[in-house]
Amino acid sequence: MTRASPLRWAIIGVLAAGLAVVLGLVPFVGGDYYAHIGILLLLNITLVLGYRLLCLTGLYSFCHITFFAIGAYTSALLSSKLEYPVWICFIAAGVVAAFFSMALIIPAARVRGVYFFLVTFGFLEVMNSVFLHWSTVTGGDAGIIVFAPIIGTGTQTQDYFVILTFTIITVLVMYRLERSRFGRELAPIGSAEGLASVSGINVLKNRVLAFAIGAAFAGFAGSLFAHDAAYISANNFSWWGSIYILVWLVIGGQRKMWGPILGAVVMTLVAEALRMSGILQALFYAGVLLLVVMAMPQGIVGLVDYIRTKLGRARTFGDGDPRPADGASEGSP
Amino acid sequence: MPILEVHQLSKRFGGVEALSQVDLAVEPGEVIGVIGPNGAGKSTFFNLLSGVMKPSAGKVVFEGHDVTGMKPHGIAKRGLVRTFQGTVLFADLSVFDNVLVACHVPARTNLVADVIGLPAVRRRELEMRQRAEEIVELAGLTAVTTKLARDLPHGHQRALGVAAALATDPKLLCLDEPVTGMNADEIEAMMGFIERIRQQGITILLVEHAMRVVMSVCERIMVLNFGRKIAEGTCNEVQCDAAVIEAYLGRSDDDDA
Repeated sequence: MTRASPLRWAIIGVLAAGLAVVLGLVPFVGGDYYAHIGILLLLNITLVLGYRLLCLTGLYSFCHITFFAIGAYTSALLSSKLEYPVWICFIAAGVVAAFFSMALIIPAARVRGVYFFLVTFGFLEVMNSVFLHWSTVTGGDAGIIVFAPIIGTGTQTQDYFVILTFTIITVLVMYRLERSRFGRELAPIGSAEGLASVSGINVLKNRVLAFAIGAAFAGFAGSLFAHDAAYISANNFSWWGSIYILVWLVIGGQRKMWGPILGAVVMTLVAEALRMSGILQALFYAGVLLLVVMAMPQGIVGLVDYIRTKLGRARTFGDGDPRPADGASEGSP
Repeated sequence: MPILEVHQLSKRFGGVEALSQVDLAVEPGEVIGVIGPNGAGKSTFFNLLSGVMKPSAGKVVFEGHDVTGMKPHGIAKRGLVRTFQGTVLFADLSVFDNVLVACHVPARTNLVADVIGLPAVRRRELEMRQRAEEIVELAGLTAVTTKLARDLPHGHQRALGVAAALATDPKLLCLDEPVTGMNADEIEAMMGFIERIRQQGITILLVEHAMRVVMSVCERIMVLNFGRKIAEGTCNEVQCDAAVIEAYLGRSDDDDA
């Protein structure tokens, strides 16, 4: 591991500039259809990055799509029924989703592994029943029409740029979180919970925080989704959504942040390029998932790390390098 | 004032008394050995001190605060930190990152400030990295600092476990069989490391089977057998104690034998 050299920064700069140009041109070159695909892709990135936080601590939930749904319904109801301004709906969506996530995980974190997965699956099904059957509030099958656009007149291009900005902020926040003390403590909890605990790491607090932050971002994304699509119903938020998020994470590999991003981008684009929907897409996802789990259990991240190790480069998640200490404590009394 | 006072500490598992009414007072800067045959209650004793298990009765007072029944991370933050008997490490992290994570434990942090990346946060981050380097060097692991913990040989893994515990800035360090399964060179290196820790003024409690290590490192020894304290004193006193000899070698019914 070496400190990032000028050359490396130059390469990163060129890549970032190229990416910015491509992302900026999407709605102008591709029109509304590509802007729409772009919006889905960007929201998916936020979803999977939020989902990853708790997964790092070794707990895999199955209700991440529900927080997206809670955000969407919160925002749609506040906007359509109470006519609050969109920015208030947006903030409320994140706060309400985070609140639900905390109410769920504080009792649920007592169980581990498949049991935790099942508890969260139960939560997802209960909430879906509420969305579907509490028709007086949620509109049930008929759903809710959301009149207020995110900004301006609500064209696909306008929505695209708002959501692009939101996604960039999400990625930056996640990047900083990863390098914060909180972010550093997540992976140790996942690999040795008992040791983490006696080393002074508050396991439950970190898990609650990870889950709530992920849920808040899913809630924000749900709000943007509702105001972009202008219509939501219970059918938007079936448990397939949770499966997709899980598959993106597994395919990308959770250890590095770019893994799930890549997983979401690749799977969304490939599924769209093959024009698949319904059962065909489900089969495709299942097939890819099986292949990845058998051939590269650590996902794309693991594969890249494996190749780098073969080339003799060590892996650490720090961004600087541990320079050799300048003789300190060598001859201490 | 003693740094650690243990009063009548007991732990029952159903009908089995794993630890029964143990008293111990540890002065700051001491190195105390805890020995006893297999099943004597040494590991239970550590589990109770560190909060991994809750005692059935008795009290643990650390620096004048009653820490009995507190959560492990709370006890660790107060400065009572333990290592584990087996090799328990964050296997997927490098040596440096294992120590760095532990370095953050005593720090006061604010998540929002961390995310924004205030200058104070960056400064603290640099200090942490420097401290982690120092501890890696103290543990004699500088040569392998970027290796993944899982790829290290046994001796280095154990040293890393102790280094990570040291990085949490403990006042009292409980070492649970730090030299088990080591070869002679590795034992030598670990004893040097423990000595360097002691020189930093950190109080040490040492559970160990290897008598040579206990006798050369510890100033005072407590002997457990069947969950009870049967002796306490200097190395010489304990070695000559009739009850200790009986516990380790058994009693002969026939005096001529």
